[in-house]
Amino acid sequence: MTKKENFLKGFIKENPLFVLLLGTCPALAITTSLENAFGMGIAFIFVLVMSNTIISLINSFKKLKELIQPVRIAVYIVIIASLVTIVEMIMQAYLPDLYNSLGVFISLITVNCIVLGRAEAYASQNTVSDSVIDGISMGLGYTLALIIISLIREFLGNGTITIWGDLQINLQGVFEFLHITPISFFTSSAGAFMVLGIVLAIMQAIKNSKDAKEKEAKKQEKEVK
Amino acid sequence: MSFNQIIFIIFSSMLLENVILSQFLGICSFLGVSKSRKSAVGMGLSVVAVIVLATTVTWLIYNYVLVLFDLVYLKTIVFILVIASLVQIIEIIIKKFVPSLYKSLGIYLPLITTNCAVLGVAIKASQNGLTFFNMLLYALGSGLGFLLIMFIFSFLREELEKRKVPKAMSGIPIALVVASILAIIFSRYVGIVKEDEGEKEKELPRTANVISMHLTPSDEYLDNIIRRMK
Amino acid sequence: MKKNLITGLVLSVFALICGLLLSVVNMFTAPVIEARTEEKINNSIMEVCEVYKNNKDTYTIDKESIKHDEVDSVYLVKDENGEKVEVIYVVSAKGYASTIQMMISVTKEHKIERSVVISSAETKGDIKTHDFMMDGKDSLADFDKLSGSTISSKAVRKCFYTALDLSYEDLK
Repeated sequence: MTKKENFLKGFIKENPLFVLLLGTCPALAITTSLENAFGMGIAFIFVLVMSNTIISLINSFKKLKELIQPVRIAVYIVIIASLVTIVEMIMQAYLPDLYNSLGVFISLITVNCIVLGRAEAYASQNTVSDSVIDGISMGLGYTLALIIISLIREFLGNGTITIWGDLQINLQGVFEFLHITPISFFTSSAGAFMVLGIVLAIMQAIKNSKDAKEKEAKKQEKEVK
Repeated sequence: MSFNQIIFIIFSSMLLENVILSQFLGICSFLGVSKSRKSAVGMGLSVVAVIVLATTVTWLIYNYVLVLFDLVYLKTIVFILVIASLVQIIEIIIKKFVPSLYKSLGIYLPLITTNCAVLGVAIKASQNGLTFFNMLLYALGSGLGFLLIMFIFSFLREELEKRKVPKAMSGIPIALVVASILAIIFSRYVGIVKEDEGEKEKELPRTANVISMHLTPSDEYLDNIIRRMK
Repeated sequence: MKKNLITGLVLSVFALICGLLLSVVNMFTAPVIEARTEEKINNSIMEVCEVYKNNKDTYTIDKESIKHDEVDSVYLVKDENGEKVEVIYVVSAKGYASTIQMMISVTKEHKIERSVVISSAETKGDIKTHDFMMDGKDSLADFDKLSGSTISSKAVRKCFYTALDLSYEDLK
């Protein structure tokens, strides 16, 4: 795999949320506004990149690798938990509003399957530079997924798009034009499941039609032969 | 503590603030292990046990160690270590003493360490400053809520398998839509649990009212009595 | 046995390193967090209490003397003679998706002067900007709930109720 392929895989091919279906808890809980998605994404990228770096660094020393082998999962969890706590403290100090609205889900990055999964499956077996690229790619892919879901939910549920702090795009005119009010269903918990379900269905439909086209092409090739 | 309050805490943590449907904790296992009823109930039961035990232990550590020594910022790292070792200990104990139970639940136990419902409930119970008894009820209610939803959802998914579903929706997407409908139903349970009488609003000022009632009945009060006598 | 001991030792060394690292970071962030909360409380007091804002030099705020189980903190506003003028409550109640924390000031006549939402992460409706029509009222009769978010409104109503109720005790 080249470095470019490694970087691009997290966006579509191996998107952690849409394809691997990992980290669904925060994806449903905090996607009520775009700002939350950005905040979560930044925290997540930081934790993932740092944990990938540290874990691949530890594993590059052969002696250390053998030493931690029996308790490696516990060691990884400790490292991830402390990175998460660092993010939490920095966020509480400098971005208190965002910290409040993300709530317990910052701490829960610790048990997010993506971080531990990447540590065990990728970072522990690859070089530091590859692991960093992997972390950035997966982190950005996850953030992109969060942004897509939160855009849909915030626009349909509230009629606004909050980019950061007071910077807000007000699109309620669209709803007024159609003589309806924003559908608050989409900001509720039930709406979260619905939006993720529909987005996944669209992904699956695109994949299905692509597969069908490929099959068709192969068939034609065979017929030509 | 009155019986009403006990019921209130258990029901509100089980139905109104259901861990899965309204707090989005433990979604990974909710989607991953709900394909068959048997595995869903197995997972649910282990989660109930681990949530109650882990929340009790972490609550004790939080209140009697971390707060006392001003080390609250270490909570995530301490909690996750406690949960991981607790799961390990439970696994060893069950394996040794109840092998039949281990056979049916054993495979779910390692998964629970990374189940965010356990860590989420533990953090919330400690941070919200609940009393020891309230914390036990809250943990039990949350765990039972998880079990209940796992059971209902696995039942629905088993039924879904038999039905014809559009090709793009089959599998996880339709399961999520079903979960959404379940969430709508559960969010309507708001009216089912009423707060007990002690917390209901009384007319203001509360203290002044009581005194006047005892000393001199107000005109309104007398009017009422006269009207009733008529 | 020896092997187990070594692995346990390795794990505890890692935990220790991480714990030390966290305490270093905490040393830097803890004062910032504390200053932020203090600043926020002070700003909110300025916002809800007009008399204190205008007479900062003569009036004092007593942050210590009263404590209730129902509220997070009580601030008594006293004039230059030490007479109680107003009482300010920081009350929290559980809302739809989060705990709502409000600051409410009550005058000597047991009327609500003003209120602000200090922190909330409610997903439905915007309770931070909604006017609950409570300024200058002494009962909850005119309480204007935020349509579409019943549970958040209930929590806010509970905050107002607690503040009014306690003011009869604190402003005697």
